[in-house]
Amino acid sequence: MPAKKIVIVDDEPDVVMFLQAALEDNGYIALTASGAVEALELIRQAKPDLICLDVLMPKESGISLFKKLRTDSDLKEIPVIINSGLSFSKDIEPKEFLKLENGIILDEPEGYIEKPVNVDRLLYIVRKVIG
Amino acid sequence: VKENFKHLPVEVRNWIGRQLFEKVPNNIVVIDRDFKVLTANENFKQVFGDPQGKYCYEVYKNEKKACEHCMAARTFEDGKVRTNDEVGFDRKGRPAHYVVHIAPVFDEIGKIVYVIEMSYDVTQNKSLQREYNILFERVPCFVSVINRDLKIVKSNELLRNTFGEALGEHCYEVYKNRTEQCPDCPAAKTFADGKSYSAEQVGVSKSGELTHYVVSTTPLSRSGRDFSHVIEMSADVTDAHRLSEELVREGYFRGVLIENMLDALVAVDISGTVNTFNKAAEFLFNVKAEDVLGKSKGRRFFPQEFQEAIENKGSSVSIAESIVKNAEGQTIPVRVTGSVLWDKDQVIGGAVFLQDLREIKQLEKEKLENERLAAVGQTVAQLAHGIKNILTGLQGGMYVIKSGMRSGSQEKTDKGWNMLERNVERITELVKGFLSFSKGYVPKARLVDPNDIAEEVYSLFKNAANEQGILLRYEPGPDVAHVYIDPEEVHTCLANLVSNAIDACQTSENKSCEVVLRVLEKDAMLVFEVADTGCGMDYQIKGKVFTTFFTTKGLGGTGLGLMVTRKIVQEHGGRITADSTPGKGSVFRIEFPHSRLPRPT
Repeated sequence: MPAKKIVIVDDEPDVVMFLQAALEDNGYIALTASGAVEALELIRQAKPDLICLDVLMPKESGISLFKKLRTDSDLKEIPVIINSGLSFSKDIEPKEFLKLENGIILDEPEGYIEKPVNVDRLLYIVRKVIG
Repeated sequence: VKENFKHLPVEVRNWIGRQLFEKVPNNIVVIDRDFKVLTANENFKQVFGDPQGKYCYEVYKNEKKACEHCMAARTFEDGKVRTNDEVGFDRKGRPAHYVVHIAPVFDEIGKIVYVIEMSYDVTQNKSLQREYNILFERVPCFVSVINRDLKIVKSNELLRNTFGEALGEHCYEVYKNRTEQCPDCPAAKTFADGKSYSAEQVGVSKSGELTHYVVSTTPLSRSGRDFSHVIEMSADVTDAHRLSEELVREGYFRGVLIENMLDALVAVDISGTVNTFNKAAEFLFNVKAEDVLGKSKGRRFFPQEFQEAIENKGSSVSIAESIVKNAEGQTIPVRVTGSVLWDKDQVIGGAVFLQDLREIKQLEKEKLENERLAAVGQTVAQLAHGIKNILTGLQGGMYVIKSGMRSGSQEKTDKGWNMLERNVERITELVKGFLSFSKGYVPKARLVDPNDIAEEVYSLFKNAANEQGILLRYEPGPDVAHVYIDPEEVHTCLANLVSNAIDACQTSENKSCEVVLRVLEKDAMLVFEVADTGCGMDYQIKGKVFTTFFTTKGLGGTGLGLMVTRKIVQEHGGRITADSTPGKGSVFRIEFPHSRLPRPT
């Protein structure tokens, strides 16, 4: 069984390096992007098994990219784990960011990880989503 | 008759015999039975012209035949002496009133052959009488003549118009609708002692309205000391009375207003004597009104500026904030509205309204303090949050080192070590910044031109922006007032905003980006604006910029810039807002309401 591919999107190089090391150590192939625009291109090309997405990034936020992914017929099946310094219960109301302007409500991300990243939890969620 | 003259000196007798006829100041004319004038004296000729050979009716009245009720004719018949009022025309054709006495002249056999008419002119009396009549009727007073029964025997027009036809009625019925004499009746007192009295009375007019009048009673003496009537003259003072009642009401109303108003009101005359000191003033100065009213040195209650306005003979002063001292010597902040009081070209005193600002100041202070505490509270909560990124970096460093050691990769271990170092440095920076942020700080305000601060920031960033192909513009405010602010702190704010704007331009795809730094005055606020045409922020970022240790600059920023900016702005009583469109740019606006800016100390 070939190794699963995971795209890490984060503007913080240290976070990228950390996640990359952790995922690679556990047998995954980790591809990285430091911004939403770069990530979308990478995802189209690499067709990963999972995307690990930061929220607050310059130029374009992770939420914006998430919406693009979920509304793209080629990409909407790819599972997404949101990995953010923001707390999903306190800072971001899922109902808000899942709602599109045309009223459509998107499927929730497959997992949430709050920074600082706990490697065991990260791996637990990744395994749960893609095995 | 001659017996009467016997004892007289001969000269007098001669004078009576020869000259009396001519010299007597009356008109004498002798008429025969045909009413033809036999002779007339000098006085008569003066008035009616020479009547010689004319008929008396011609002479007196310009008539062609004898008068219908000729008195002379009757005297010719019965020989009685008569007196009559006549109206004729003098020789100039003017009406002449005269009183005529007609006496018969008998001949030896007792027949009446002539009558003598002796008349005197009463034209002037008549005209006086008319004038008095007009005066009586038309004088704008109630005038009545009343007899000892207190019944009105004569009344004038205004009395009749006001109280109705009054003749024969008791004065108290007419004036007051009473059925019996008034107590303390001035007319009765005049009847008793003959003196004049006056009194204020309230009557009821025929239309039922209360009528106030001042009456004065005078004995009406026709001859000598005896009098049978009193004349009552009353001036209608209803209007004056109403005005004075209104004045009293007005005065009362004003008094209530002054006593109960929330502002202290102190008024003094030119000598400094206090004549108004209301309850609020008592409270403000902690002085009893009774201890200062009517006493001198009242100007001590005025703020310095208003004392000067009085000394310089100015007009009104309005001061947003000044100080007065209370009885204990404590300084009290007040808002002042003072009026220098003038009478024509002379200052006669001053009145000042003082609004006690202590409570407002306290509230303002508490509000600012609350805002500051809220900001600190948020900051503390968000500190933990902001540290998450760094913590992630530290954890990452540890993990990568461990992973490198486990797999024997020196390169990986070094990488992890660098991550550790970098994030320890970041956290050091953050803590330093946070310490300076959380320090309790009072702005070191001084009076500055806001344009100067903006210009400094502009010249600081101008070249750096240029080098990156970004146009930085500066638009000073033409009518911006000098204000008390901490110039260094505000400089920090503007520098943060301009630096952010330049960064936003750098990350933008727009190649000809522009940043504008503006100073303006709007709605009683000093406003700084930093607008850029850079990358803008989307919804998620906008909501977080001021409240999170949020940086989009990767390792380049601590995320403290905007928080520090917001804190400084709040410490100056202002607020900061952001408006942004992704891809179009952002406007950050700092607004300082003048009323909340720090005050000179």
